[in-house]
Amino acid sequence: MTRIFAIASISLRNAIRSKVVLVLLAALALALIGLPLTIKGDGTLDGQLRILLRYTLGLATLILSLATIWAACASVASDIRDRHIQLILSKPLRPIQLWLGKWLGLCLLNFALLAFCMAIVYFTLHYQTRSSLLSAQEQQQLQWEVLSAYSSLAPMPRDLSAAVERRLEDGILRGEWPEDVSPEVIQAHVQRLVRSQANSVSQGERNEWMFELPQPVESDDPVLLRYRFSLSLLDMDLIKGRWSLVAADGEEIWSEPIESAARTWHQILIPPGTLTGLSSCTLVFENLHDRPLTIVFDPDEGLALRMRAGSFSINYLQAALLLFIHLAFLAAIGVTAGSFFSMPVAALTSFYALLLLYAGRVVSRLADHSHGHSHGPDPSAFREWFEAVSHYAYAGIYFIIRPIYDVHPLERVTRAEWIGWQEVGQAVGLHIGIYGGVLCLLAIWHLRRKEVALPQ
Amino acid sequence: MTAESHQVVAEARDLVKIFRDFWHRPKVTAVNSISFEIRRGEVFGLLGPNGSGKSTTIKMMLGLLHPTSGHLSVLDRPPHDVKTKSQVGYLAEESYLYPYLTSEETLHFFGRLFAIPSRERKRRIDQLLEMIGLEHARDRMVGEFSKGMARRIGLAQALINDPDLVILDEPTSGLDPLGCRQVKDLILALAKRGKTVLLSSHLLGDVEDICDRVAILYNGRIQAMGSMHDLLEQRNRHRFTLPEELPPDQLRRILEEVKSIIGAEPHLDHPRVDLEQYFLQIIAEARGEQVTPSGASPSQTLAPFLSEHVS
Repeated sequence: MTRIFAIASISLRNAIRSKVVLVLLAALALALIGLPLTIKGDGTLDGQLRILLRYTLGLATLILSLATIWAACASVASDIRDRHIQLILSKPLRPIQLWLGKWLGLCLLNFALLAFCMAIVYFTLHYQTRSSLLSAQEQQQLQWEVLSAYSSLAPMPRDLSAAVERRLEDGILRGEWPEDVSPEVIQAHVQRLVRSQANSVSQGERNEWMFELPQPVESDDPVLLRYRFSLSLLDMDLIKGRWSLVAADGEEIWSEPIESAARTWHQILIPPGTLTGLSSCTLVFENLHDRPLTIVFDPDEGLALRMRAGSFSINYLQAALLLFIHLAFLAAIGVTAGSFFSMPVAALTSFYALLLLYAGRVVSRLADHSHGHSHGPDPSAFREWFEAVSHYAYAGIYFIIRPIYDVHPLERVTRAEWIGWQEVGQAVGLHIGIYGGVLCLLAIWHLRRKEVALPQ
Repeated sequence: MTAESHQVVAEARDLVKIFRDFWHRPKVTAVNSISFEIRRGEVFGLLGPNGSGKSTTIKMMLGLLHPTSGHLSVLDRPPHDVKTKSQVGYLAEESYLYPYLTSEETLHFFGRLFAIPSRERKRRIDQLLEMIGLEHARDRMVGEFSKGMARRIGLAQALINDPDLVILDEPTSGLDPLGCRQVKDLILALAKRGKTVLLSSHLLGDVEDICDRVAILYNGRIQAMGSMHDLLEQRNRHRFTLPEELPPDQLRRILEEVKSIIGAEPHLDHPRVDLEQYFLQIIAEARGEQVTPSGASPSQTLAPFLSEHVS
């Protein structure tokens, strides 16, 4: 460990001395101080806090990510360029010790900077919500809607297989399904259609969703109803409706009329005590709009009851740990890239990897849509070949990034979504253990083969 | 000079190093089938002009370059083995030290790479700084040093692990004559203590002064190899040195006698001290008047820890 810590201390000092990193850290300070002062959001305290959490910390994380990648690439690449590596590798140092030392140094720097940023935002948040500024009701609302952490409970899935079967047969009888489309594609299409229908509510009608409550709800715990819908027609008006909750014995225990806009998230507070002692309940929505249109809740995440799962502080800490793990992973990418390539090439490669991670959803769509959509009646062989290659390239990239790209801790803290220690543990195992380990092995393999004293 | 035993510390057989271009095509044959042995306790010199393959050979011995073909072992193991590296000290041809570390931090850093315990490391650093005459500059950053001072720190880091084999690439480059003499004395002292020294240089005087054996490289090949005595002695010529100054008539009689025996005019001149000796003498006299040194403070003593573990 002495050797690893020796390299870590040099890596840390190198990073601190890098001019690019210093500029990025200055930008970090500006983001922490300037952004909360300049962006006012929607004028509400709730909006201000969400900006502080999401945009200020988001920008800080982005800056730290860029600084990490730059410093990580430089840590090995500049040692090779400036030939310090010749002295270092003439000492009894294994490539894994070199890699771990470089990585550890950057992790220590990131840990300190991230802890600093998170602490500043945390105390700013508490300063802005101090009791002298807010009424008791405002405070309670903030505590329930922003400064808390909830786990989401989706409705019980419905058995739609009979409806799917019927719809498929109807389509066959009516000759709706094109012959050149595979049965699997048609079946998937019909399943999506039937699921959407099962989650839709026409004007004047009602729809029900059953929820099984996983644990007895404590009396002072608030429950939130979170929903988002789209419309059968383009309508800019607020949609009128009514939510209600019905207990297993048929008694309506809560209701609330709403006027909500389509295609945006809404959240309603169900008063504490409403679900106390219940093991299940039914959520009912009535479409009371004054014009004929159908409301469709997204079958996957359009509707959820949110149960309190932990405190904001713990959730915030978990988010900080996820961010730290993310930065540690980026440091691993940078150190490995710096072992392979010279500084500019390593930095570009790492930034591209970062871009792919941030654009994971786009890559998944590209992987889905890059094949079987030839334009024109008679696509050339080259075009078909090119599309096939693109498809497999995107599918390959998506296969690699799929387990790790979809981590958005700040978004989740902002939405008061509980992260959980299990997820933090999984992130450590996946980002650092598996992906970091593979990157480390790649770098070791290369460093063993690399001749670091070639004439330049 | 002290070749204490015939135990081989490093051995190269038919060693070849070809540098390739981006497309992996052979570009330069830097080392072309060289073979040599370095024995324990000797000072072995690699001598040759720039580009002759000296540094390439040294870097292969340190595991920083991989031989294209041939056999190379250092301390009976492959050069890249960490056990080998733990017994080797290396001074590179240029200062590859971190400029933002102080002398002391630099030595601590390299000491930690050898996993030397903290207390022992500190003891060695104190002794080394005294040995190289940079005790007063222990808190100065290496980046602020003159080339000679940086060279001394480089030398100290090469010795921090009390190595069995010391590899010095152009050790006197950038040093003033006084520093050169100190380094040469240090190398001789190390050899006396049983250390093996591999020295690369194109300064012929340095090599002649301290090496037991040399290999002369040119164009990647060994052109000549052997002990200094064997290589430089002119066995077909002789030189007499008279013990004291003689009166002119005695000297004339001796010359006439020699001429009558060999049938040719003998050459007569006065012996000269070499310039280095003369310079050192002048400085020694000047030092008697001047107290404060401007750069490194000269020290003649080998760091005690280097004397403790004689192999």
